[in-house]
Amino acid sequence: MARVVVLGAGISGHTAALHLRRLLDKQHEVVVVSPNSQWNWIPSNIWVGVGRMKPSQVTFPLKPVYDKHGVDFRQAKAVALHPEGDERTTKGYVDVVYTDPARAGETQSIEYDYVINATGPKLNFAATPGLGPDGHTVSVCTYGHAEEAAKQLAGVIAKLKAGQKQTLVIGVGHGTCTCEGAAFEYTFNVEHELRDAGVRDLAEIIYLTNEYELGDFGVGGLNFKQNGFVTTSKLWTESLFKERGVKSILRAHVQKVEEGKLFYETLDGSEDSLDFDFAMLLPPFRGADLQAFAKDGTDITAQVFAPSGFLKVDADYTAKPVEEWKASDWPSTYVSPAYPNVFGVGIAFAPPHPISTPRKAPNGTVISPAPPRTGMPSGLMGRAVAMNIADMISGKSNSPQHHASMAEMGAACVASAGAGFTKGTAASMTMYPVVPDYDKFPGYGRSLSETTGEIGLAGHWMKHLLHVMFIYKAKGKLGWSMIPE
Amino acid sequence: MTPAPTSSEDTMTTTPSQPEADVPRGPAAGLTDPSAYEAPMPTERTVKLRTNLPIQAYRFAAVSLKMTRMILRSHG
Repeated sequence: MARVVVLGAGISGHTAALHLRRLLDKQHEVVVVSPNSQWNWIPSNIWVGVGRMKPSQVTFPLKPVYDKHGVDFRQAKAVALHPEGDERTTKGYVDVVYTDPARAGETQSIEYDYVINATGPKLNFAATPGLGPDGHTVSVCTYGHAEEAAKQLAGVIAKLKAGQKQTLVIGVGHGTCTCEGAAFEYTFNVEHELRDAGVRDLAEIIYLTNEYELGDFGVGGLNFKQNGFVTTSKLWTESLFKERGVKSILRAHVQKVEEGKLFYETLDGSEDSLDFDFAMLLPPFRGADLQAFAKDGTDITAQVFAPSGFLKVDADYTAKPVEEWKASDWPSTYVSPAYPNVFGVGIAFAPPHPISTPRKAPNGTVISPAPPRTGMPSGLMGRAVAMNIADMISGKSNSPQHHASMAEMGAACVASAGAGFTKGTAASMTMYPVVPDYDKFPGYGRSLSETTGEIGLAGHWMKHLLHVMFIYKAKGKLGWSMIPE
Repeated sequence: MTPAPTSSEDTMTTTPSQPEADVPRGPAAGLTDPSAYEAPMPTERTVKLRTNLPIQAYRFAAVSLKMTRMILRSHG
């Protein structure tokens, strides 16, 4: 009998757990350790953040799903990894602290034959003083944060209706943030809500970002065919900003936030401040606070994890200039180079380098997006790792044979920009591959036939369809495994 | 050649000095008015077509097909 422990129940961890349970005989155990009792379809938090959905519409409790599928769910937080075991055992194990209210604070060591680190990001609000729900800005990273954002937005709309001018700043709260697409989507949802409320003319909306150009989205921008030309996501995005009257501050790093005021610097070395009435600024990410220890108790965290806290996997981490970046730098099996039974998927794996060109301000401040690795890529990684572990347990192979490199997979990003079945719109983008491969696709690095962008009601329907489809799939209902990641 | 940090998430920063308060000022640094972009504005017809039901039903089918092809390719 083998035991697989999955740390985290987000998109990648939950996908891995369900596939493992589907692929492994019942004699083998699948254990999921997650500090959260709820599964959250994070892309729809945007709609919670403008009050169009309730948290209950984007979440469901994990335990009943795991009970139904025969997965052992433990509501706890992983704190330490012992990949070599210790003097008591030769098996690797994980130390966890329960967050389940019935066992809160209780600690436990869980032995494993294979472990998947899918702990996702630590929302690093602390990197920017005053940032976040405990400071002076709101967020849409969790359904709870999004609910609070919707309340504050309602307050802003009430003031606008009373004739008071308001400044809304939406974007990223640090020079090294990722998920610019989410900030972009929230910007246009807010803009739509203000128009819908008839108060748009009194509101100034400013999109503040670490991107070098609009439309970078942390993937270095896109090229796609439109009306017989190859156009750029920069031009396409600028057009939307122009149409909707949204101002922007590019290439910015937020230094600190005070009540109603944020301080920032830009890539050219300028420093300034900005007054605001409402600010939704995403935090930078770090890896979860997992430590690693060798058999003799020596701290090996720095060997197993990158300085950012993300797990080192089968990527090429050699420091090299942008011109020498290759698609093959990116991992494909997500196995730890130090321990063949330790895997890292989703946001929890350490990327070899950004996708967008890294840039620094004259004082050394890094102002460029970190690579996004959420959504479909996360699901594909979880699935590939589950298939590899199942094959190794069943003896079909003794090393990972299934691959899921971000340089060989695409991604779809549907950013809604307004609500309503007949009046909504969304910016739909697809790209293939996520990480450009200039050897395979000379010139643009991506397939021009599978990298697309368009705006319209169809995208809004697509976003709703994805919402329904992925929540159905995550609930493990009939035919769930037929729905692609 | 551009230096490449291992990951931009690896690098934290220091807090520089603050701008002085109560000084008359122009627009915030880097603030761009959308009218400054040279990107084309959609025509009225283009905007209307974005919510035209028959057109969008067709686009929905087309986008779905494109996404399906990309998803199948990504699933190997």
